[in-house]
Amino acid sequence: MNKHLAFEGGRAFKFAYSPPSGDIITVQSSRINIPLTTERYRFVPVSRSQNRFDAHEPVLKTAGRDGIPVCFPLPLTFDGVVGTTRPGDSDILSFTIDDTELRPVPGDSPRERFLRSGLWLEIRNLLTGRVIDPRRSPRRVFVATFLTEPFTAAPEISPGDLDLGAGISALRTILGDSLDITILAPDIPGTLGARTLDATKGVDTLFLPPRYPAHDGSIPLARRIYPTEIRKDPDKYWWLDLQTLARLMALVEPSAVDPNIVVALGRSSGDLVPGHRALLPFTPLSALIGEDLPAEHRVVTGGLLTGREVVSPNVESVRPWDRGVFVLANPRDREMLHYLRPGLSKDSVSPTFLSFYFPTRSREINGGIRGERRFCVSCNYCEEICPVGLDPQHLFKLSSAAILDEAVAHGLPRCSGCGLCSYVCPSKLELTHAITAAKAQWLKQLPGGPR
Amino acid sequence: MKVLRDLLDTLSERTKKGLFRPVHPLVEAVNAALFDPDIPTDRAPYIRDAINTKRYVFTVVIALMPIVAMATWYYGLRIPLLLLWSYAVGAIVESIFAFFRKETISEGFLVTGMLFVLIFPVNTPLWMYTISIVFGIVFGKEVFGGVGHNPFNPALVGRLFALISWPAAVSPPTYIEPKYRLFEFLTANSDAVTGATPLALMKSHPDLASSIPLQQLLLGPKGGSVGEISSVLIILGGLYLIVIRVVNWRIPVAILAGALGTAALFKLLGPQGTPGPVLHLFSGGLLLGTFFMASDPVTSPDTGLGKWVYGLLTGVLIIVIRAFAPLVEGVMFSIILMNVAAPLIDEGVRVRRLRREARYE
Repeated sequence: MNKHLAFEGGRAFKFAYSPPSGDIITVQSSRINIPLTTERYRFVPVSRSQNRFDAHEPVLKTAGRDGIPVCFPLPLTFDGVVGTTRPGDSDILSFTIDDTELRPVPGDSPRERFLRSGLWLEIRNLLTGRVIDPRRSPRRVFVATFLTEPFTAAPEISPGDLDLGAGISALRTILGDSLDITILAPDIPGTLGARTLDATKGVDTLFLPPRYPAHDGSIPLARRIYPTEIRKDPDKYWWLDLQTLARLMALVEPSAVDPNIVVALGRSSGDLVPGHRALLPFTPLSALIGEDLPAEHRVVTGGLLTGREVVSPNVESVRPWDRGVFVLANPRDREMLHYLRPGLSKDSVSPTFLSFYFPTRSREINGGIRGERRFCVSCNYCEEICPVGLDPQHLFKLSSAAILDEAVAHGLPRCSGCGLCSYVCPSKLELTHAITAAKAQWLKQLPGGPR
Repeated sequence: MKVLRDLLDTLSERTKKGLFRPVHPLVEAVNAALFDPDIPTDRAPYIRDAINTKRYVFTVVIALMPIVAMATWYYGLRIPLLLLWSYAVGAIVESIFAFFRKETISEGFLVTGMLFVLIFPVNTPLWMYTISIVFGIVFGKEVFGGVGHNPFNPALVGRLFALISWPAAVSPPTYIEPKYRLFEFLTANSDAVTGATPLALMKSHPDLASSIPLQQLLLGPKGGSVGEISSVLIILGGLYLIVIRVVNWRIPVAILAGALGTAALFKLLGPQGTPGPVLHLFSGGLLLGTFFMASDPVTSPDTGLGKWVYGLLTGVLIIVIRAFAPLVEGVMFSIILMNVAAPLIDEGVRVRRLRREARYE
């Protein structure tokens, strides 16, 4: 039961996790900016008259008649509304962080602490990727034990050091004793002790094939169980990762748990040492990547697949739900005859490159070959890799032509925005962008809008 | 390398407007052929797979190279020269269209140009050959919007045009017998020794066709179109493409299943001397068409089930045409017919998917 998870290097662990796109809450070293409407949430201010908020005092609540309060573990001062970054976006509320030390969550019962912690913002609906309603009780919670992707063989720090058994009891304490739990583990012999958990009542283990560069455990899962179990009541299936689980444990037993989060660091050039590092949330990015980032370098937080480019790396901080920080160099040299090279260190899932046959070799991230856009050649790579079993090339054509009805009929709502289709496309089409944009448009049309 | 880079940059800049604008697409094509683009990703996902259409196309060229090499061995220097000629004609036609469309030349012609050499008999006159290439590219691809929009395989359209226009030259009763001629140069009206292909024999003298040793059927050299010279090299090239996932395995498997199944059925039910599946498999363009033309992703269905349907029907059609039509070969017609049907097959599969999707709601 009290088996510790241990991870080794290899293909299985090259996973990058990040919340679905559309989440553009930014945390700077002294400030938090929250847009009132994103793809995932719609917030309203709790009170316009008040300017100072204690830690864990509701700052905002979700829109709707019975809004869920949103709290942060830090004391904040409301600064005002800052300009929007994108036309058509709503206001962005700006808060100054008065003190960066995280405060323990108050509350009498674990359930109450859970509601006040804001941690529910990190838990997702398994299917839609939308934020869950923390007041409802889930039927089953999926815990992904995949590690984030640092593009290095062996991670030095493993979030798997977490006591999974204790995590499961913590989940049950918070969400109810009858909760079913599924552990998602990479299907590699000898890497996970969770097989021993099979006997525990109400805990299943689902072994998933490692898929480079698939970015989180919920994604390959959706394809497997969507048609059977979940469609009856999709709101009752939640998905979270080990780090969120660790922080949920802290709600039950505050002293036992390390407040650090584990963040994958990766780079395509520069001094940053790739690997995993444990750090406190709200640590300034400049402490990780250095103050003077060379020109033409970009910082991406979240994951490389679904993350977000940081506009000003010198002032922003690691957000509590960030699982990776990557420095990408813009390709300065145009590589000669790249398509004739064997490609032992090319970042690819294609068997035309040697790296396919040597999965443990680290690969170069050059993050720059977006050009050469061609027409779709119907190679079907996107359909083969799509973790939720969609036909991205068809959805792309429908989304680009703004034929929403038909796209929805072809499963647009099931798109999890993982970015794998854009990643594999040999014609370098922006499939994910077109499909997620169409999905956002569709979500807006729904009664109630984004929650 | 730096010098080359600078030279190309200068050329590209100079030809952007003015007198030399017509050569701009060519300069850009050379540029794109030699160097990778350096355009950064500006939205998620921030990494992209290193594969691009150039590599995709080039693997097919690599798979075809042994066949071209063997053809050169047996047919002489005419083969590499034809290849160069084919690429030259293709480049001119493509640059004209690229110029008017204000696009860059696509690399798709690297494969099409090679296929043009392989699907004609070696002694086709150059002028017929040239007109077929131009027709194939223009009416098989460019009028539909270029690579990615073509409903047919351009090489087959060119070949079909030639067959209809000059049946005697393109599908003659006898072919030049392949023998070692590496340093010889065949002309269109060479008086080389000629012979009938296994496929032609199959139609006229089935008993003679059955007596061709399996070793020759498999390894070659076999007469006929240039690319039909060796079944083994085609199979190896096709397997290579399947293993590296450039060709979807479903299509070749389905075509071979359809063709061999139908041939076996005809052998069982047909009169004495009906050619069997092995003879069908190793004669004519069945293998070349299966691995290199029918499996072209653009002109075949996108959906997995669609590929099965398309492949099976193509295979059945090939044998039916060979058996009942007055034509000797059925591969080209079957593939073109099924290319036309591919969007319809896809539509059918998608309607079926819609029903499945509706059950999720």
